[in-house]
Amino acid sequence: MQIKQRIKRFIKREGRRPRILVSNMGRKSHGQDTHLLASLLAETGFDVDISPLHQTPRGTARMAIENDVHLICFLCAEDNHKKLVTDLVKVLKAENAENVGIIIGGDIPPSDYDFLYGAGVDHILNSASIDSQAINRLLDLFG
Amino acid sequence: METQDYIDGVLAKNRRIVAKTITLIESSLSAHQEKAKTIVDALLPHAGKAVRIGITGVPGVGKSTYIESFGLQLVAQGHRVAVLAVDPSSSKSGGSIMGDKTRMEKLSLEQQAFIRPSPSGGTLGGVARRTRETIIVCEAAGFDVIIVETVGVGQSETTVASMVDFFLVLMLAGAGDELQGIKKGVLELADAIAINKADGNNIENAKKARIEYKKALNLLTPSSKNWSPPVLTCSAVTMDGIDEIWQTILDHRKKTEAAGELAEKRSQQALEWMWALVEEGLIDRFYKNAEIKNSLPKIIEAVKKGETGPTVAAHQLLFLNDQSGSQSG
Repeated sequence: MQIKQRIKRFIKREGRRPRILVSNMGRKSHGQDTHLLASLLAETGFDVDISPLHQTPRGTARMAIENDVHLICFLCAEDNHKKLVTDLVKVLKAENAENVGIIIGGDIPPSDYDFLYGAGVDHILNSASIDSQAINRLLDLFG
Repeated sequence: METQDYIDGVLAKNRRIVAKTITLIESSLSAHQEKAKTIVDALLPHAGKAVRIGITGVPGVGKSTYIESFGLQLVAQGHRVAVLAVDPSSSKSGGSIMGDKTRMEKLSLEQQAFIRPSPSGGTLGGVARRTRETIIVCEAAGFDVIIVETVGVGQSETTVASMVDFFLVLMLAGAGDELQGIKKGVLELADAIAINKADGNNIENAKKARIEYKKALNLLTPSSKNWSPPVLTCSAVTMDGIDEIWQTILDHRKKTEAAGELAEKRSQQALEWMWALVEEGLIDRFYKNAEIKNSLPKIIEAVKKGETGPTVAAHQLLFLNDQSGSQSG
């Protein structure tokens, strides 16, 4: 099925578009890349929120809850993605928001994939960009 | 979650449930809307006490940065601030980018603040369709200053002005063609104009622009007997003039409240809210009407081909609507 149709079907079922928070976590952030990612997602038909730079997991979780997004996506520029993910999952759980999906991208070594999926990541983008295959993966998360 | 859980959660100031309630209000599913109506109805007696402020201005005028400074100052004074921002959806993809919070770095982390951007959506009624209900929810959750932010390019200003107590229009100085930059209609709605970015080399320009706008406002008939809209200057960076604007808003409130104008405005707005819902309901019924659903493709095709004139086609459709309406009634 085409992405457009999948989004249409999503709206019919949920009453709104899939909403995703593109967050800039950590001290070094992919400023440019997150904006590109946000544009691509919006052009696909997502409602996209962008966070301020240098967010903490707590700030990201709060924004995800306040804006009531379905998914959080962030790109990693540093080596601390394991900790960011673990902390984010912890805060979301504490706020009863564990149903928010987590997507990460950026420079993630494949050897970390198992750990990240185990920690609660729903999907890993293997680059900073996103293509139709990746978008379909995201939509798969909604069943 | 049950309806009562939403009501209890909002009254208990639970951030997540306030957010979920807004989602329910904005949903296009009729089941969600029914639920939302019951919730808003139950919350209505707990609402109405906040200062409602609308803020508009052309893209690039610095709305988000202004709200960051303004909001932080209010929080420091002990207020609880809710910011509702309406972002335009793309008419092509239907998606949207909501980046207001990127410029509200500190306010978005404040415990006493709540910032919710909403896509304007391609749905019926369009821009700010549900902002009135959202204001009620935020007030019931104890926010005492509500800021509604819109982009100053469309018709959304009139809608937003019809749901707030005070409408602030932000402007820029130094462009030379200030008055052409924004529609006259928007100026007529303003309870105050603030020339933003009045800092550094721009201070002189801002002062000049202030005189220009004052002249322009003098040409308009004021919409209130008790208030003539002032022109102010401010800087979200140096914080100059930010408190003056808040004092202006309080002064406006005092004057309009004493004269009974605020109460009158709010009851007028309640009527406008009712009419907006009636219109929305009529349009909704029209599209859900089985007869119309059946005939619509044929009629559209006929108009496209030029076989039926637009006026005749419109009459046919409205006739179908009346007919089934009288049958069910």
